[in-house]
Amino acid sequence: MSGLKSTAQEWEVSEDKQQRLAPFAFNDQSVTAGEELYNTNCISCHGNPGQGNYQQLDPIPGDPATEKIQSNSDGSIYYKIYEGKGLMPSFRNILAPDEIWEVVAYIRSFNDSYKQLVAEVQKLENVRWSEIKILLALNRENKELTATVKGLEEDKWTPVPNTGLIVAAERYFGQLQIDEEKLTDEKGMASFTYPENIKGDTLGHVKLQSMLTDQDLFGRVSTDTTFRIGMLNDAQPLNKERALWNSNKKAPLWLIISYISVVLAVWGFIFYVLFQLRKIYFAGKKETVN
Amino acid sequence: MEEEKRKSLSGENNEKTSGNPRRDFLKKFGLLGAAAATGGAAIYTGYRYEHSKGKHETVKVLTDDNRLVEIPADQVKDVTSDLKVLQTRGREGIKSRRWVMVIDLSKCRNARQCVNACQSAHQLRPYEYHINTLIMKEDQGTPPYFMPKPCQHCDNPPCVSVCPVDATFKRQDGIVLIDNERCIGCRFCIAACPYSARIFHWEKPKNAEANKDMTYDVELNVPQKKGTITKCLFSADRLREGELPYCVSACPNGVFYFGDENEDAVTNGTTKETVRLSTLLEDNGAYRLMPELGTDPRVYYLPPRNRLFDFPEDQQPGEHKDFIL
Repeated sequence: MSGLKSTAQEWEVSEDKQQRLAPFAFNDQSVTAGEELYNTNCISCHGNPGQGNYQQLDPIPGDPATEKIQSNSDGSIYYKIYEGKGLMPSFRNILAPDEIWEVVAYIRSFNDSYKQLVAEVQKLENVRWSEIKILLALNRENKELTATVKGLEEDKWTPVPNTGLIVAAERYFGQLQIDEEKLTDEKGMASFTYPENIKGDTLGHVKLQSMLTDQDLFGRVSTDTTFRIGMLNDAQPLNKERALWNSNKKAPLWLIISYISVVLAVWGFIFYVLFQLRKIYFAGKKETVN
Repeated sequence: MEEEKRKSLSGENNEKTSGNPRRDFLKKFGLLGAAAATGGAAIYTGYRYEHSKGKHETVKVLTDDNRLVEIPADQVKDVTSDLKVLQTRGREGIKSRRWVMVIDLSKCRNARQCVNACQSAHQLRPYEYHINTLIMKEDQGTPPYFMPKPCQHCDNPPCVSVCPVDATFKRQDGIVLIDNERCIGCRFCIAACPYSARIFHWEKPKNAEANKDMTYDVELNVPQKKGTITKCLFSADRLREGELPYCVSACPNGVFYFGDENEDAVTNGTTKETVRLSTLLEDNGAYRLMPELGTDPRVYYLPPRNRLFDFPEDQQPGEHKDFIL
């Protein structure tokens, strides 16, 4: 029916992504951790590995213990969990890289012939900088945020070029990414255009988080900065206005006035009648005396 | 001098000294008694202190302002949440928020995880729904689709207007709640709701015995009560803790988005991806249910366009094979 479904059978993963390896050796601990993550995130569609009790969807999610999934390289499984496609949701915002590798470890525990290749730690040692910091500057005229990434290299702060960077605004349930992911230039700088109509707090402040995307290489590097770039949040409480559904104090004026006047009119009439009866009574008494 | 002494002893000079030996004795005895009691108490306190000194255990406690402090274990008192506190904060709601839900109909495949999560959180039986997935078919020639339908939390809620006892109310953050401590079970609100979002507890609610001593939380509507109304609460208790509602985070297919309209952002419960609400609604041609009634719902639907699944052949519109009694 949709284009997504017909192509779902051939899920191409690029060569370098396929060859990606886990940064740690899988052990009982990672398998247990992976099982827990699998049971929360994957079981509702893929079922219990080895039991074939997956959901009958199109495309079929498949049992992770079967050849269809086990024939993938570690990197491919990682990529597919990370990116998602069609019915398979992306887990990039749900699971940290290490957690995805733990799920891979759990899936691999159903494959007796599997032998793990662990990524060499060399890559990490190649990083020249012992410490990384990100500075975010505001350029109000161009509606731009400029991030400068610098690393500490032998007591000197030098720019970190060619690394991916994202900027996101903090929201109640998550981070709202601003602009796209950018690569830093040779000065270690990258510019992000922010939308004019982004919502801020009651003063227009927006809390921004700038983060390096290559977590394998740098670990989790992020900086929080707050700028006054948002629209003021001057929204009134939804129950502020007078309305028929609101509490007694906030009832519509016409309702309060008409209600009170009807009550007064009814009681007034009753008292008027009683008063008249009293008058008749006394008038009758006077007659008989005379 | 000798004379005076003699007099006082014999009790002749009453004005100068208290010549009454019995009164004197009682006075002295009282003093002695008081001293003994004080001393005894002091000794006992000391004994208690010495006794407890060795086995004084401390516990680490996180304070409101996020400091980790150590206090003696015997000073720890269990705080039971006070009904009055829960009621007050439940009526007030969360400041400067306007909760909004977006339901993407193209992704729903009736996995029923939202229904199950909701029913277990709110202690409902399998046939009592706060949210239900309906099998829809608009017309003969049009394809069927699944539609999750929670309470729409209208900005002009007809159910609240008709409540005679102020049991159901709308908060500043847009959530319509029910206080079953006030509800008299008249069911006017069920009649008034055009979305059939409310249900009535005709029988004793699930786990009624087990939850007997629980403090009633208006934001969770647990324990449920026989003879009162219940309905979707947008998981007001979870929102207070910064978490997505039960149904939203339980969905395996990315159907639900939930967020704050004031922040113009909604977060997908499955992928946890945060997107701009205005862009999402505009790009997908969002709509709301029965706009002609002027109820102004806080739930938006994205049309079932490019559906991600085939409609199961064994399920037909109008049929409900969704629960086992």
